[in-house]
Amino acid sequence: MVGPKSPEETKSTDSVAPSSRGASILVAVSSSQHSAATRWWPLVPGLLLALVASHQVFLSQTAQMNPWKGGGFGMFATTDHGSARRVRAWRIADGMRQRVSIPDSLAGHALDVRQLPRQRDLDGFARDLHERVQPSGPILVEVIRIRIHLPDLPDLAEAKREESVLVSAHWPPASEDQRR
Amino acid sequence: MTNPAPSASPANPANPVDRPDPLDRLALSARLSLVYLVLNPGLGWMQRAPVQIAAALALVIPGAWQNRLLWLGLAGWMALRLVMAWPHSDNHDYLIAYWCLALGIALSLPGRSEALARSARLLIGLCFGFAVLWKGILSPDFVNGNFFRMAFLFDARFADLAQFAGGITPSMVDHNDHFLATGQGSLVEPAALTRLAWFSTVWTLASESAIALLFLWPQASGIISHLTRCRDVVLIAFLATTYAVAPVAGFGWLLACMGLAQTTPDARMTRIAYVLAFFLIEIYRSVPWLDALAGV
Repeated sequence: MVGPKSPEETKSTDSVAPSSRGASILVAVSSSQHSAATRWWPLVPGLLLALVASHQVFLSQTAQMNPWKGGGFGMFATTDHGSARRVRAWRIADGMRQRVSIPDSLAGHALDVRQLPRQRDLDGFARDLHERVQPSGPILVEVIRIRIHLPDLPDLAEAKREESVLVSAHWPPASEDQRR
Repeated sequence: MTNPAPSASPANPANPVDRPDPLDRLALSARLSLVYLVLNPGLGWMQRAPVQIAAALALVIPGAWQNRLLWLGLAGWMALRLVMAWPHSDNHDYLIAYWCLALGIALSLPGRSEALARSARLLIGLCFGFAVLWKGILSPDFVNGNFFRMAFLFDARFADLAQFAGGITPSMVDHNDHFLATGQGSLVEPAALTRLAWFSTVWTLASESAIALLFLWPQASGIISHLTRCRDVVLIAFLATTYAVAPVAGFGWLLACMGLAQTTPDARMTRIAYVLAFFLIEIYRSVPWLDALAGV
């Protein structure tokens, strides 16, 4: 990539030595090394982007990560965004559910599990909530996605609002029978 | 890597030959990136203050933009911010961190302009490539048009456009918001809004696919080289149209900085067009022009 420069390039800032002449972060000595460094080092930011974005795609497909977040460039691509998700908690007593408010001290944690509801994180959130609220029975926490089923025009009367559970957690951990 | 050898004779700014080119792609892109950081340093005072102060100082101190440690420091600070805020940061927060790293690396290499151009082309191509992956393959509710229908029906950031070009009225919006909150009643959607949603879906997918392809395609000869020369036209058209309505000026500014950096050395008019696009996005953001049109 280091070839003869065009007249414009000769006038450009390429001909100006970098202001910091101290220890360079990238050290090479021969012209062939110059060439290789100039060729490959500029690819590093793109490589990082591809790694982070691939990780985000993986998390969204395996751990229900909010596609708008995480550096995968999934914004403005799906209706599954943060405000279409809710974190809800229930106290279970005598087989009945009773809604539990999430205390302000756990609001940040709730926001985290809304964006990335990994099972282990939601288990931890349910445990923390159980410790704060200290209910008589177990706690159930759910991350819910709200969807609007949009039919084609002119059948809008068929539009439906649906809620589906993305991930849930019990604390203390429920047995298989209780989960069913 | 050794630094380029200094000129044999000292530059004389009075001599037109020695005067720095005001449209130099590296200098212009770096300075515009500093303007971006002053305008859009992130959320929260701990994030805003250091970035804004460093960027403003680099703008006012002559030649400070050429210091690679400035850019590598900014990249490191932003990477730290991404880790601390995981997973809540927006995508342009990631992109500016990669871009600062690209500037720091380029300023450490000989052939700095070409090094930055290579980074910029790859970053633009990859970010649009992943955007197309999401919109075209991973998200079924984008290709069937439902994403934009929902955005125009419920997202307040698109309210002016939905009112102006989609024919929705404030009373319809209230009606639909009630449906969204409770599931009671029914939806109201003008036919013009459905058409607008379909147009937006097709335009977004087509333009983003074209940008990804044109920026990721290797430099080549023949007809392909003519196609890759179109990349600037397509990206500038994207900036000038999409950010008129998309509520993410920061992303558009960043794309303008990166687009400018990867222009060919002789493409002076193209660089002017990128600078104009940068400020056009600020006009879109600051002037409530859609609001005014919607009220007509």
